[in-house]
Amino acid sequence: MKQAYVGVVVLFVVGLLTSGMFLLLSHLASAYRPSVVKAMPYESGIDPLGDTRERYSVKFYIVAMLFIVFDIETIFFLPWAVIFRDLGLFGLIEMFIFVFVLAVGLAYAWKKGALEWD
Amino acid sequence: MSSTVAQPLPDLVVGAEPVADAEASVAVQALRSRFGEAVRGVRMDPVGTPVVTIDPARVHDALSFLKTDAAQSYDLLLDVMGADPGGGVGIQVWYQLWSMKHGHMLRLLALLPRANLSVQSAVDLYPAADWLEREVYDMYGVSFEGHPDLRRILMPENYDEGFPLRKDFPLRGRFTRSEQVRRALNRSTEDVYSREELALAGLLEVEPAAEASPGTDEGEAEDYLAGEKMVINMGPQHPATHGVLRLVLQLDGETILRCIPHIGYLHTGFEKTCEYREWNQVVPYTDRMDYLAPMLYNIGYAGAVESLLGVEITPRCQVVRLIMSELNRLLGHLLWLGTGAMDVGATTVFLYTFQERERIYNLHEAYCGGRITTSVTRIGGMVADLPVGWLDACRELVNGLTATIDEAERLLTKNSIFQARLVDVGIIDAEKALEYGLTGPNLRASGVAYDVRKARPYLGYDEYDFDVPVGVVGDAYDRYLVRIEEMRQSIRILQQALDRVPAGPINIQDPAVILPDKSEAMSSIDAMISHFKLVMEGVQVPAGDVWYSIEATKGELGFGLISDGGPKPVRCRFRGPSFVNLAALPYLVEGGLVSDVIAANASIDIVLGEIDR
Amino acid sequence: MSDDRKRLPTVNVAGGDVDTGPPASWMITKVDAVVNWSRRNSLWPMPLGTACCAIEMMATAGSKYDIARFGAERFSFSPRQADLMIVAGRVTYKMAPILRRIWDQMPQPKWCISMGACASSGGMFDNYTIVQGIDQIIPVDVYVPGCPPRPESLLYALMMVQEKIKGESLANPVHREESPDAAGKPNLPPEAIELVAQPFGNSTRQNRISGVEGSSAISRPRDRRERLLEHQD
Repeated sequence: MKQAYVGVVVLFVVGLLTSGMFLLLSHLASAYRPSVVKAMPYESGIDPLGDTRERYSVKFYIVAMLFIVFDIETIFFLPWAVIFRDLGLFGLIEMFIFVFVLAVGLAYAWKKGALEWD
Repeated sequence: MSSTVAQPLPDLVVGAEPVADAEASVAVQALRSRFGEAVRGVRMDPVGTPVVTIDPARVHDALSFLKTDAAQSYDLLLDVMGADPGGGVGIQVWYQLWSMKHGHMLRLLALLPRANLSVQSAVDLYPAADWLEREVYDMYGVSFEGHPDLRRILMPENYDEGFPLRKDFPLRGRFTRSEQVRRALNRSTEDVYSREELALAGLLEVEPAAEASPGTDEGEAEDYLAGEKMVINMGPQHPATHGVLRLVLQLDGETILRCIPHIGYLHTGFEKTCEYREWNQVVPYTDRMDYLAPMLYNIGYAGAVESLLGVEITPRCQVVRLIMSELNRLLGHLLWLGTGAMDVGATTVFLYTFQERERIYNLHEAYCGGRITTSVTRIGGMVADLPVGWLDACRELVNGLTATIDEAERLLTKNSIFQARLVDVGIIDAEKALEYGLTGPNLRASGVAYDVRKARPYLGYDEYDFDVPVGVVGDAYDRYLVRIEEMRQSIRILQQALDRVPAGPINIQDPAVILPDKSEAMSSIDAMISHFKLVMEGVQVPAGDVWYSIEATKGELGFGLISDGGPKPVRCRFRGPSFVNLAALPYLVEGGLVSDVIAANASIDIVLGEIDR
Repeated sequence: MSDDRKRLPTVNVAGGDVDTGPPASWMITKVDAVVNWSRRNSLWPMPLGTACCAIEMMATAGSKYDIARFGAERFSFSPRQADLMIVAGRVTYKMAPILRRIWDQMPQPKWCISMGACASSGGMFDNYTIVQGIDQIIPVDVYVPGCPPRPESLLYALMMVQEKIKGESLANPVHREESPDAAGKPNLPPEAIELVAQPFGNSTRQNRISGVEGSSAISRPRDRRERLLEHQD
């Protein structure tokens, strides 16, 4: 049982080591010369105007939320797709119910105009 | 959606027959009868435009009459320029007007005395005057009463050295170089943003009276939200602004509420510098304004000076200049196509069009040695005759160009993503386009069939068979289609012209104007003397002034020249079409999305070199 | 030494005329070699293109001259991700603070190519509005003459920057010096700017002021071979 997970652990560790190595090498080879101007936000060379902590329209949130929901739905498809044959008819009907529930949500969002930008 | 239903074609705008004498012109007679004493003088300029000198106090009334009267209907304001004739007399302001309906050109001239450099603004009549008047203010210090926002446009906002184009302003400026550098790098945020922009960002102090009542006023709610809209800069260092253009955008999410262009980041002082150069020495400067299609500027400038001189170029030179013009039109449009497509995401087209441009550059190089900075005309002719085999090489290129344009069209025209980016973006109708002074493909895409090559033919364009494409809706997609078709028409003209190059001398045989052939100069004493005289003294252009224009890639390219009989121009004005076209950008993009700014900006095809000059 | 020289430290590691601290071990030189190799073959240019030179720069990026061969096809318009600023075109006094701000916002290591006559010295525009050489504003590594320089010239300039990078060392990062209070200030002192502003100032004094003359940096690819041949005798 544990044997199956060794691969995942190795992948995780190698990933950490590789990215750690990149960061370490960059840090060693870099010439770190901070300054106030360098840290300022880049706005095509001009001083930025005003504060960035401003409220903005809720439609950005709505797009992001819809994306997350349907993205997670897609993720749930993946393990199901792997063992699809073993689950048989039961698994298929189960998945259709799942998709149907989310489709109702999509239809609601569509009708409410959440997919329109303006 | 651009209409696919057949629409009646608009009438091609054709210039009226030029009148022999200025007094015979309809406009002059009407102005004389209406304004009487205010009309101080009437004359004709070398290209047949009546020039009416008018009392500065009546300028606005005259413009209003010329615009609204049915018999005049001067609906296109081509140029507002200032001129300092020297001697501290005053500043001239020229208004160049064109009537689409009647095909007449007219110039109003007002001499403002030094003691009272002010005239009423024409912005309420012609929105195109907005930026043009700001430039006259910036360069000469003329104040236009009633102008909504009279501040500097080309020089930095806090520029202290004076008004550059005045004759008493030294070429290198008043301050020392180190002081200029110090001031340049010491600009604060308030210097870089106008009052309007600071107000948009909610950073201007509000008077105490405004916040008197603590209730739930409409106004107070609006003030509360005013600071909520983001004000950001797009540019001057930006991949999609086609140069050092700065747009200050006030955004509500993705929607543009307000767009304020700032130019002048490439202001090179061409006009001032050219006042210190001889007439032929100005030619290299003309390359560097519209560096995408340099020969058009060379040819236009030479044509303008030749009209002042009153010389006719040889037939061979005419055809060669026409070939160079059309080749450069293709050069400019190919770049527009490549960068425009790249801006909306299609990078392949950029590589294809640049490869074609390299082939045209080979022809440039074979002819004059330079790829971009060609300096190919001289007053009275060209730098040299065509090399052997050049015409065949050109023919080969032109025949192969259709394939590239077809390829680009196959990739773009019916592409649904391209259409989604361009259709119904940046719409401007014909009336608004005329008010904003648009010319060139931008105006033609809005439905006005005005092309200087057809309206006031030069270089023999009336002898060639070509059509002028016109759009319907005036959106970015129409501008795209119009330019593609213009490229095809340019190929058509070239195919005719390449077979029509007559034999004969390329330069005129006037030793007072153009250098004699080197072989002659080395063998004949007369020729050597003329060579010497011309090099030492320069071309002496008789006193006079002219406003001459040609059809450049971006629109109507105008040259306003004043000569005092000497070897150097007194005033050398370059009316870059992109300067006036860009002023319409806020109208095109406000209310749209940020990505539409990129598409609209690409579609109006600007080049900062001729905007900022 | 006369006062008007601005001494830029110059490094000629191969010629052995600089003190690199403790004897450079094999390990450190190898690390240098690898780091310099990777830096110079993946220079990401930031094109600060203003005018005609920018069009030649675009042509260099096109298929005929292909700057991508040198690893430099990824033109970064954000200074944060760029190594090499190519100032292509004339720079006005209005544009100068923006140029300086963008240079300051580029993280180290960074190099600068001044492309064209206008960027290098003001070019044919000696007037009230054009900066007479961007080395008054930012430090420049390579100057490219031409109006505009052909794409081949720009590629040669890129190769010269690559040669310069070869001579750098992690152990002695003299080229990476950047003081935080230099941000936003001109690169040359006012006296130097005035000297260059005099008639023919650019052609008689700029080399010395910008540190090009008198520097023993091997910067042209051909020079290195010639030097090596000399040393072999």
